[in-house]
Amino acid sequence: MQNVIEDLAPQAEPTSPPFASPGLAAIDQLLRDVPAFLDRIREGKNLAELARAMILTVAVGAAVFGAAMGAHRGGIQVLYSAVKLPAVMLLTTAVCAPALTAFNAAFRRQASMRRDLSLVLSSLALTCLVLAAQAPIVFLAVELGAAYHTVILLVVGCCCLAGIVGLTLFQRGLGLDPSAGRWAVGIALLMVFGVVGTQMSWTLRPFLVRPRTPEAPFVRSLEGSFLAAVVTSSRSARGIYWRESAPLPGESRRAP
Amino acid sequence: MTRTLVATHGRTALLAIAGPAVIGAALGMPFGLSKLLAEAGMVTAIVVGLSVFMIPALYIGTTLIGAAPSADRVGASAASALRAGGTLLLGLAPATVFLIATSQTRLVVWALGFLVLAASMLASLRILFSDLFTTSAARLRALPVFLVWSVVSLGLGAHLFARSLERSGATTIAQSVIEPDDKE
Repeated sequence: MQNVIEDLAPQAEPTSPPFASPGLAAIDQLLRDVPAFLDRIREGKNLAELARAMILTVAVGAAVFGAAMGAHRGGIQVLYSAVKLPAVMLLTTAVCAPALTAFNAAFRRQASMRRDLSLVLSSLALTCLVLAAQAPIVFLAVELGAAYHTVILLVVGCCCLAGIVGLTLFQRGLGLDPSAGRWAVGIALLMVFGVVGTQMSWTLRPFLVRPRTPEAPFVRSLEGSFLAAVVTSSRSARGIYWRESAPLPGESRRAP
Repeated sequence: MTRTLVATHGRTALLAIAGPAVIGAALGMPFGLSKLLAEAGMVTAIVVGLSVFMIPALYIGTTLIGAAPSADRVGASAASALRAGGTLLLGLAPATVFLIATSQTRLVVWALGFLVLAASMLASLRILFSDLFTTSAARLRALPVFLVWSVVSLGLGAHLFARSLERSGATTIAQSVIEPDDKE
């Protein structure tokens, strides 16, 4: 009888082994325990190790999503997009991270390059984890034969959702410093990140290749800027053109 | 004590000068080395020189309405504001250099130059105002004078900056070239 009672008693859950790698532990903490994760950044504990883990997370997460995007074209484009998307993320961070420290200093908040960079990398890592989680959706759309523009819209939607999640973490991280100016700093950095990120993406395009392009290049030649493209597209939308069609790679850009 | 003061003032001067110099160099970058150096000097001269030129006017104006702190404090606050503005410009320099290097239109140089310098000047003005007028009553009394002074300073700065860009070869906004698109 005693043995039956003991058998029916709730068993203590087996403790899961701790993560072998501190990097994996950091990623798990980023997903499960954001307050503790942010406390670690605020206290400046092992930030170099944290930064390495976050950079790796960005690289892998963005590569997975990039590969899903490139699957629309297939072939070598899968590899190209898997390489270029992490490059966009990390290069944009490298260019924009000093701006956060500068904004914090200008607003007389706590300004520490190490902590600010850790916060930006962590937000980006969470963004890329969400992107990686959505990669199967894009891949499914590709497999079901979704059209080029449909996949574009799907990718934009996935990036928006991932961006909102990352931005939420970033704003919480800024709130660790109770000084005024948290929202102004957040909005200012978002604008800098947005402008630089769009130009970086423009510079490293294409990620999804237009179906009529005969051969997918790794990177297109530098033509104008994202801003110029928005202006000219707005003119196109109003019917203002200066030639019949966009040149294919190798054709002359200028009208005869 | 003296060494600390020199170090602090030295750091302030360095940040106040380095920020505008780096941004000026970035803006002159597309037009060659001589323009790069010229623009670095011009932007620094405009930012620092205009501040030195305009601060006495602020002191006089706020004194007349009875809201001015001591001349020492005005000087120290101005230095602090310039330092903050210079720090902000240094932080925005990598993004500015990247955007100018990867764009091919003069409009981008103009737009970035005005945006970045305006952001820096507004941050400096905010710090100057909060440093000089610490009570609500003083802020309320000084606000009209400070606003007029800020508008005049920013207007002068924008005009001088536009002229420096024209001289460096960036021409005017109206002459910036953006190619129209094609039918697809």
